[in-house]
Amino acid sequence: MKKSTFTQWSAVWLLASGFLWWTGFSNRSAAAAEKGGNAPATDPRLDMVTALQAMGPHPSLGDHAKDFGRFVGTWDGEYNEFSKDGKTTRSSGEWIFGWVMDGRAIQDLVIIHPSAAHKAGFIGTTLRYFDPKSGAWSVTFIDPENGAVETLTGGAVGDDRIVLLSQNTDGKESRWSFDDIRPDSWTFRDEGSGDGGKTWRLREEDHMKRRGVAPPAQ
Amino acid sequence: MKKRTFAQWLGVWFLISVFVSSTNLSIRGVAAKGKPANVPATDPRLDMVAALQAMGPHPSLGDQAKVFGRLVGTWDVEYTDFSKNGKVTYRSGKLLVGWIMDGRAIQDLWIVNPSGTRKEREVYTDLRYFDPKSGTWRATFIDPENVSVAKFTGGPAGDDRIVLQSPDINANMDTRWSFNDIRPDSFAFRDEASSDGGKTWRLQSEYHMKRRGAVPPA
Repeated sequence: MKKSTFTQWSAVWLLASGFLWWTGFSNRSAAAAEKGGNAPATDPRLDMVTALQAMGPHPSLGDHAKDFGRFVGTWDGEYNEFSKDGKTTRSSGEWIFGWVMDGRAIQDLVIIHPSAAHKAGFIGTTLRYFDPKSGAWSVTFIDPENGAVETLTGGAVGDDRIVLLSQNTDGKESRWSFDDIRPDSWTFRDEGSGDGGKTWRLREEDHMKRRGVAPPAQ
Repeated sequence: MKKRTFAQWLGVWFLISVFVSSTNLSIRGVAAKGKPANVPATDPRLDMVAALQAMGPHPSLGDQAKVFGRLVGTWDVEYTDFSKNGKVTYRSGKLLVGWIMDGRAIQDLWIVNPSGTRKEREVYTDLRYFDPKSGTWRATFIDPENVSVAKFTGGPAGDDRIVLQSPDINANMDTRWSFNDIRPDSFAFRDEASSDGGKTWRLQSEYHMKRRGAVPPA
């Protein structure tokens, strides 16, 4: 009887050990599967983004880092485009910001999901970098699908606003503003002027809400 | 005596179980540390690069995809710069190339290792996309540290060469950037300038690239 109790207990412990092993393995593979976008770093197709990313700003940016650094992370966007004839087009999407290039620049990605108004959706990127000489930010917006590249310059206006102006010399100007900036929300406005900045027409107003938690201070 | 043997066995199994599960945990910890670039995708600071990366070109690019697509991956670079006074400077670094934005564009990152009195590496980036209207490739070069942007236009010249030109680098000069002798594991980049409208060109830099690791899938 005693011997069989011992055998039984041994079997239980053996099963328990086996179970612990198996749990360890399955946890590990679940952790790997969760990384979806981050396939093994040895895939040469991912080398560029791995080298591009930075976890924070370069120290040379000083206090200016927070101008755009406070946008790092993912924002859900409600996009409203106003055409000249008074039509409003509404769509939804994402706006994602992250430091790149050893923290010397901040890159973002604007994504508009496909809808009746935007059949193919939209994807554009902007690189932003600070010029210590002029004390201003330069931003270069690139829209590959429409072959558009635009550079604007500007900076913070007060604590909760950033205004950027295009440098076009043909009298047509663009003004991009980041208004009412809060930890979890802000509003983007795109305005155009055909008279050298005397009057502005609102072309787009986008409302952003942070997805998830704010990252550590940038 | 039998009881005591049983208790001993119980103790041994218990110790083995604990050891086995702690081994699993530490293996997992080491695996996580081995991938500094792949911090869990839930860190909002990595959202941008996770959304930016693409594993291949957009189908709309067709045969044009291979023009720059064959450069995807990591390259070791020997940089040679020729100044006007005949001085030659040698430096080393890396070039990383990867598809981004659903494969609509390809971004590269040039890294120059610190040399001389400079303690930090230099980083530059280019975004390239095909413009079907003009049948040409457009490239935007961005140097955040020196707040410099230049737009290039061009395309393939034969099977093993790509030539891009820009008027933006210097107001009085044209700049020609070429990718020469392109092989699966090597190519040479040349930076030339012309001050006579393209009649004569002065070689300013020549970079030699050797592929690091395996060629990614076509």
